[in-house]
Amino acid sequence: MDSILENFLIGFAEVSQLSVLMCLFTGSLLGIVIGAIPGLGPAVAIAVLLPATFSMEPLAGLSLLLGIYCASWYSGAIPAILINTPGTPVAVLTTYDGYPMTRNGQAKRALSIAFTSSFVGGLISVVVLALSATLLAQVAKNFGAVEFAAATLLGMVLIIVAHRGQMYAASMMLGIGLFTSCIGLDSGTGSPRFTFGSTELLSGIPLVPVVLGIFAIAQALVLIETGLATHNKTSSPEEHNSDKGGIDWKAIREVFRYPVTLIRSSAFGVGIGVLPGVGEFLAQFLSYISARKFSKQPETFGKGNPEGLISSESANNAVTGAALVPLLALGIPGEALTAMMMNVFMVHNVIPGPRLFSQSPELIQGIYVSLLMMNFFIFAVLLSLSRWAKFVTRVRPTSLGVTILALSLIGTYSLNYELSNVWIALVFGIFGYFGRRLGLPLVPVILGMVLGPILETRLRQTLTLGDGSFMLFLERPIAAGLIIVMLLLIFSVFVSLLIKPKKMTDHSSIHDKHNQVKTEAKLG
Amino acid sequence: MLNRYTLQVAFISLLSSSAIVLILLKDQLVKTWAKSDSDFYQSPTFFPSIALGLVAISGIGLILSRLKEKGLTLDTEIQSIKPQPIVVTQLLSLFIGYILIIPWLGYFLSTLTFLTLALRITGARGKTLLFQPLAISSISYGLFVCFLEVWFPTSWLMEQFIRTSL
Repeated sequence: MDSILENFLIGFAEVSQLSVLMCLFTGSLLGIVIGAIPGLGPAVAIAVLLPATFSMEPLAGLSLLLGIYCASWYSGAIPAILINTPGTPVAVLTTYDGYPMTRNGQAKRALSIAFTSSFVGGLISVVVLALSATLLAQVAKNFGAVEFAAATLLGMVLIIVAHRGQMYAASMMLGIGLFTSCIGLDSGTGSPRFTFGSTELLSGIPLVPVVLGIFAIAQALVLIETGLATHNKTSSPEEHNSDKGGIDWKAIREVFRYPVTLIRSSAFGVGIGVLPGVGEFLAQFLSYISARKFSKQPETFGKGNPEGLISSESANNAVTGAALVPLLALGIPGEALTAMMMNVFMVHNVIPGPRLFSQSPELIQGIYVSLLMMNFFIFAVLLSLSRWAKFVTRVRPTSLGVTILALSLIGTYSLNYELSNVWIALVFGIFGYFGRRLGLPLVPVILGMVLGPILETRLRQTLTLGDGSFMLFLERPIAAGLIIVMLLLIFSVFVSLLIKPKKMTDHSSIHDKHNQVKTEAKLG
Repeated sequence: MLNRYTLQVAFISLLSSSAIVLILLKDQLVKTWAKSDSDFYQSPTFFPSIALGLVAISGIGLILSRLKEKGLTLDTEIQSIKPQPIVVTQLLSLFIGYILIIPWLGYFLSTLTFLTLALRITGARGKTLLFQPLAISSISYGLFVCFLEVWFPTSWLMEQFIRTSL
């Protein structure tokens, strides 16, 4: 108990520095605005601000990005509830019960329930992060090259498996990311690889222009197209009626009338959030399905049932802290946003992984306390300012898209004051635009770029140790365990493809509605 | 007829065939300093070959599955939004122009010009077209150049101005 308090005080001392507090609050406020603007999402903002964080202290930079990340997950519920348009893609299921509540004149209630559920999910995720990252880091202390190579391979398989229905595309995109990470001088031999004689490419392709291209430039073009497509559409009467907000204290208490749903959904969030690549969509989806299954009034789900709202919001916010577990404990980011955050560590020569816990315990404790504080701050801000949230949801997508394009240039340029990076961003922007338009998953490209160097180094070390043999993967118990899990996953995918369960009607109906809402949402 | 389905298959084929070409040309495109008798995993082409192999094989698998199912899994998020190829091409050309004119006009004026033209293309008119680019350029300049101290070389225009005023 004493050590917990001691660690908390160490973390608190780190966070109480003015620069960290400023970043924490700025990031949170930015995240709230960004999350409430449909179609923008935290990835764009994090991508644009990533180079700016390189000049900051690691905790300050991370607090800024984490603030954007966490807050946007909270405020994504605002447009989902008020105008049936999810602010962030993870808020799609929030529209099911949130918007019907608004149509019934209960916008205040719906917003208060959503924010409170998100707050509980967020707090649980911080606790789980603090406990499981420390535990996993203890285990990972025994990790050598073989185990890290096996864990990275497992992470990659999880990323591919998570894109069910698009696994070929996800593998291809992961391969593109892995290949992109190979361009430049080979760290092992010093040989230039695929530089085509260009001296600029000798140092490799940095992550920031790729991220900005794929997430900012491509997204900006899609946003502009969305804006032009919806230009002549008038908003529905419900939208005008839904211009309400504020706090409903009764609704805040109402959330705690469903403790089982709250805990189960948060458990789905943290449990699935820890797994690399699987992500918040599955957590939210499973949480909603199980909430409906165990509810006393399953027939009211999708028609404004508060339990549905609680299940989706607590699950997606519980993912935020949990997603940091593999990054902090193993140095393996599980998704694009944590991959970008990994860059902040690397720029400061801080290597995430088990050693970080003994080398920089104050940074780890600082991250925990920062996350804890931002959850309280975001919750308080949202409750007090939600009345005005509706204005943010009215930003024109075309103006937003053009602004993002302009910010992409300075974001990329500020990395090392070279316009050559902007050209790289443009190339990946065009690639990202086509990828998005043609329905190809783009997140694996980023993950491939981040995981590529880790896998290459560890694989080489493993093969050197094993004298060219892969048998070391089976001789070391932890590595063997990870490889078995990986093989079981691949096997289960093949089996599920062959069997194709017929009992999917319940789930697929939600999936269909999910897609329908997403499409309708984008069209206003 | 060139539909999205065809485009998707064409795009994947392009990526996949590029990967195959790169695998075939890897010895020309990667300078190997290491001795030729060194182990395969020490070679600089070892990992890129795995990555390119993954792209090529997955691409072929994807094309075959698309041809088999004759269906198209589009990103549902933007599925119903009509593509605007002309606007997108105009904006991308404008963005290229934006990169090129920065050394001539400097960051602020280039951004202002880019935003004005881009907003014009996307349908902004009147006061919006007048004030929005000015506001965004000023905020962006203040935040990045003044506050975060992002350095830009002195522009050609500024050099001319300094010369004239001296």
